[in-house]
Amino acid sequence: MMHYVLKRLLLGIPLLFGVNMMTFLLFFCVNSATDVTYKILGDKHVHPVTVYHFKNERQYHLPRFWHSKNSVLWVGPIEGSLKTLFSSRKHHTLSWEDFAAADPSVFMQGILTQNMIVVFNARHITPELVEQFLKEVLPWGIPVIEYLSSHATGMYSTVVQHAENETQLHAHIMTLTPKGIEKLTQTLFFKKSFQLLFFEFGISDRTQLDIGQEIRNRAMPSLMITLPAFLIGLLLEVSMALFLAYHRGRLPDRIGLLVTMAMISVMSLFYVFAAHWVFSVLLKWFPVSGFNTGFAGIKFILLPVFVAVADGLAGGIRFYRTLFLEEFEKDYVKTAYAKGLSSPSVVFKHILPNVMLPIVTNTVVVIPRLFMGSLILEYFFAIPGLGGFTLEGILAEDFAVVGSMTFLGAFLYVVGLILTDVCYAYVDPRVRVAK
Amino acid sequence: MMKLHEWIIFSCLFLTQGLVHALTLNSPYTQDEINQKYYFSDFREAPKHLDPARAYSSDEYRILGAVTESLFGYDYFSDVYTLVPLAARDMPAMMQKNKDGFIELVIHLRDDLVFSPHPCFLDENEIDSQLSLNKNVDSPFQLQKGQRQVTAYDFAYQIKRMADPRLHCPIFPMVLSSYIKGMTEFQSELNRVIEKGRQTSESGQNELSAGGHSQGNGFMKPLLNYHEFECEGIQVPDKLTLKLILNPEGSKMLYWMALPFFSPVPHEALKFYSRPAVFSRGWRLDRYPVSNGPFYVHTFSANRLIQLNRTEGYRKRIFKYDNGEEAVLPFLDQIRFYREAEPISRWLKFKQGYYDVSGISNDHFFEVFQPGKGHSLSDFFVTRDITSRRMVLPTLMYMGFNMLDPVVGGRSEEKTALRQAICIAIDREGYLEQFLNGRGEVAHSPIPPGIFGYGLSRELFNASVFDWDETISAPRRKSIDEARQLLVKAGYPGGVDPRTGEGLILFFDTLSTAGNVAYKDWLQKQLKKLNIYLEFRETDYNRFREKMSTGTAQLFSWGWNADYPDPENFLFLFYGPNGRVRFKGENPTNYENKEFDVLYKHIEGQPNNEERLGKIHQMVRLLQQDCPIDFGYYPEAVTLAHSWVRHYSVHPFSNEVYTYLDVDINERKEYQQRENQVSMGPVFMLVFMMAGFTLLWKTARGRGKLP
Repeated sequence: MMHYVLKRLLLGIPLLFGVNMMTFLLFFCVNSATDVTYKILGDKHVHPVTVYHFKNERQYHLPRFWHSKNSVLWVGPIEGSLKTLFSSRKHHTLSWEDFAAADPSVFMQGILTQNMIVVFNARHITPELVEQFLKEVLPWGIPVIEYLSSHATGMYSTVVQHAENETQLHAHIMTLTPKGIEKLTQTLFFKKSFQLLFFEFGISDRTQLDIGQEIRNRAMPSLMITLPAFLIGLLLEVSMALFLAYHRGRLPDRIGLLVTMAMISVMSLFYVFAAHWVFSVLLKWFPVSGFNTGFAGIKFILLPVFVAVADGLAGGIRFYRTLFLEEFEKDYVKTAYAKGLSSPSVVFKHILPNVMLPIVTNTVVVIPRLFMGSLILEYFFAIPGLGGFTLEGILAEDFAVVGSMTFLGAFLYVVGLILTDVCYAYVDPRVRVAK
Repeated sequence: MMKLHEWIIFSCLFLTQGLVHALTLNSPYTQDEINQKYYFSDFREAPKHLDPARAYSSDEYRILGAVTESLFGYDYFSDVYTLVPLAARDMPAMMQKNKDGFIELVIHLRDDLVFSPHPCFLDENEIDSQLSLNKNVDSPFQLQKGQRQVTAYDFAYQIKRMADPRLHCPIFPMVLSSYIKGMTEFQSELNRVIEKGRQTSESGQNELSAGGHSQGNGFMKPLLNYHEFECEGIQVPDKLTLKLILNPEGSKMLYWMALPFFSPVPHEALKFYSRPAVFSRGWRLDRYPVSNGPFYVHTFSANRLIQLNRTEGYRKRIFKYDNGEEAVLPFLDQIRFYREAEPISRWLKFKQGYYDVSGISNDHFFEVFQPGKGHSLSDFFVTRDITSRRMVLPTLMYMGFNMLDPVVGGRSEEKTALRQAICIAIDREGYLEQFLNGRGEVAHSPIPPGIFGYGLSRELFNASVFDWDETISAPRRKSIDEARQLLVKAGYPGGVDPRTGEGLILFFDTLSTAGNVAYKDWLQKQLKKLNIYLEFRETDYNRFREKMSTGTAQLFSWGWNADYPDPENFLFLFYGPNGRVRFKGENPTNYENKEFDVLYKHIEGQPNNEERLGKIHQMVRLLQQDCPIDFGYYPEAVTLAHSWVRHYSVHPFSNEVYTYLDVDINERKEYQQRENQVSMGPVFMLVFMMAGFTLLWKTARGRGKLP
């Protein structure tokens, strides 16, 4: 058994990896991080420096999958042999004239879209221009190397690195370049997606909340709705299904068919709106929305629980009814009746335990997912649970949140599947015998 | 015959019926909350920052305005946007200009300012013991607290703090660094110290791998004491005097000093929040600021509730009623913001009396106002004593032309004629009626009402698009025939492009949101009048931004909210060196006119007088001639307030609403009980139906039709 569970667990890893990869591709290959940053920071007075720092803080400046080199912005005259030094890496040159022409947009765009090291060739240049240059560059906080300075700009000695010759320059650039395993770890994918596998959720892009903490805080409100809804729903579904199956083909069954079919045909959003309208707005039995902890919170969860039960009820009844029907037709049931057993004892002692098997498979998968809450219900009733959290993350294009929640959802699904298999083996003696 | 159990059910129902009448089952609050002087409001998304050095959006200012008291503010009860002293004792006397153009600004502080009580003011040992004693409290304000006076050093500290590059103070690059003398050098110095600190603390690690700034989780290393660094432009001559030296371009500084950026922050708070024991609990200055306002943030639960409590020991401010009676400000004991995701929920709760004030969305407009009867409230609201507040905002919403575009851009006579024709065709009066229910005012210049330079008269109206109608002494939109003639002048007679021989096609760049189909239809129809076909290039927000900054957009909708009540703040949207494409500035049309730019330099930073007014009107006229935008409209805010809310008004600049707000709790309670009577009728119906059904069932069974 242990062996089996272990095998299933290991199989879950590539699955989760794949899920992560898909969300990552959707988020970082469709839109650039700069665009998303602008959206989060808003429109007014957003200086490119602010955007750059914002990205840097959240490490969105890193390359996607492979961080081999930083690109170099070379400002000033580039001299013969230096060209070979840069031939192996992406580099841009900007002449002093361009820079002094006070059109910083080229420079800013470059910094925003690439990991850049700025090297400035300080030879033949007046101290005033150097000052002007540094005033423009320093607020960015990007690495700046001063090459061949003819006059010491001592004031910036700790920020700007100096290179007296080519070897030194090369060495400086190399210290700023990732080495070995860093090429893999200093990437967006590793920092933002891979680390999820170790439950390192990080911080929300938009609200700056600790996502791990947030998940812990929000799981309880979610469970307060999903757990009662699940239990009540299961109880109602199974008992109603049993009732209908028992009266199969007769009036109650036909009425049941009519009602359940009608209920299935209605979309779940309608249940939310209708129940909200009838019970909150018209009858004023329940608060319109909100949440509270402890005893004072009960009035807030009654309606969402009711809606959640009503939404899943009809489908559940139909499904369990088929299971029961199949069982009712079996030979052992006829034998039991023929032997003169009473109806209740046939139903509860013989049929129910046998139907438990598919019921277990169907329900155990769902149990871990209860933590995830329900998207629309929580959002609509302003329940501070994980479902609402996910939906807000999606609406805000907050990768950190959506990535974490997708991963968590996938993880809980895998856990659910494993649990099902274990339970299956536990409930069904045949599985154990076969082993 | 009724059986016993049926009797029980019925009596239970009657009992509950009586009980719920007193309780109002649907109240989202506890009895205790309702009986206090609390103000109830909502928030849709928790504010990102409450650190006064970082916050810069209206939802943040709603809270921060109550928590901080900046040096200056606006008179809350006046429609004229004048500055008044708040934390300052008086408005600083005339700014004396030095010979070299630098401005000296001497601000005297009030001597009765105190910080809200906070554990950071205790001594180190006490804080340690408090933290170890109270392991499970949710907020730093549940610990034992100390308090101290606010001095000029605290204001200076905050201004210096905004230069910390790790904070990314949003107004630093545009405002502080250019307004205050020596601020840029000051930041470089901080930068150097931070860099040094980082190198020693993370020795061995290279900078890129450290992710540059390690501030991502809010923990700033090294913690700087800004008092230790000198900035030339920030001086504190004595405990209650703050002296700033401003650069010549810093004359708008006083307006910025009315924002929460210029409120005091105690150095003790930064030290407190950088303690590992505090940090690990998730307490940040960004959530629980320490400042000198009438309220402080007591609870910050981003997914449910933000609660502000009244500051004990807040300076004595007296409110004088009209009848001469006096009261101490603030009136409220607590302000509670509940999270509300769905606008419909907020609206319903307002009607039920659970929120005190509400805006009106378009969906509910005709529920509130009677159609066709001007702006009178509908009966539902009149009978409930709900009143409305209306206010034209200092905001400009317009349709712009990209002046770099080969078809609609450029200042040649033909291109201007084309733009003018389009402006005439777009019937903004109709737009306001149809889409905003008249909530707005058609703009003739970029300067909205309430701001110096605004005016609508025979001399000032937009003569490119309107004619002055003497009979009603108001402007009237030019006829569409005139627009067609302009189109001939533009080289598109009858809307036909002579190069293609087909109708002219223009592109409108917009967001692909599903909601504005009607608006697009409407816009298309407007241009159809000129036989111009309008095609929509819809993208998501990111692509739209990209188009704007690369200059590939053609027509677009845009808006601007005033930062401060000065015409500069609107005219700079057309200042050449602010061009979006070339300079990444705030001029989205990329309009460039030498004459305009020269005039702008002349009015910049000048006091409001006749001369300035003349130049402003000259600039407006230039814009009216060139039509880089259609001027659009100034939107109007309409809010509703319940009868128990006192002193509520919409002020676009003042952040002091909650200082003055008052509620009558008995009136509110009565309303809530009256409006939320539980209806039990349907339950009776259900019971009767079930009884009927069982009866039917039993009779049918009796006849042997059923098992």
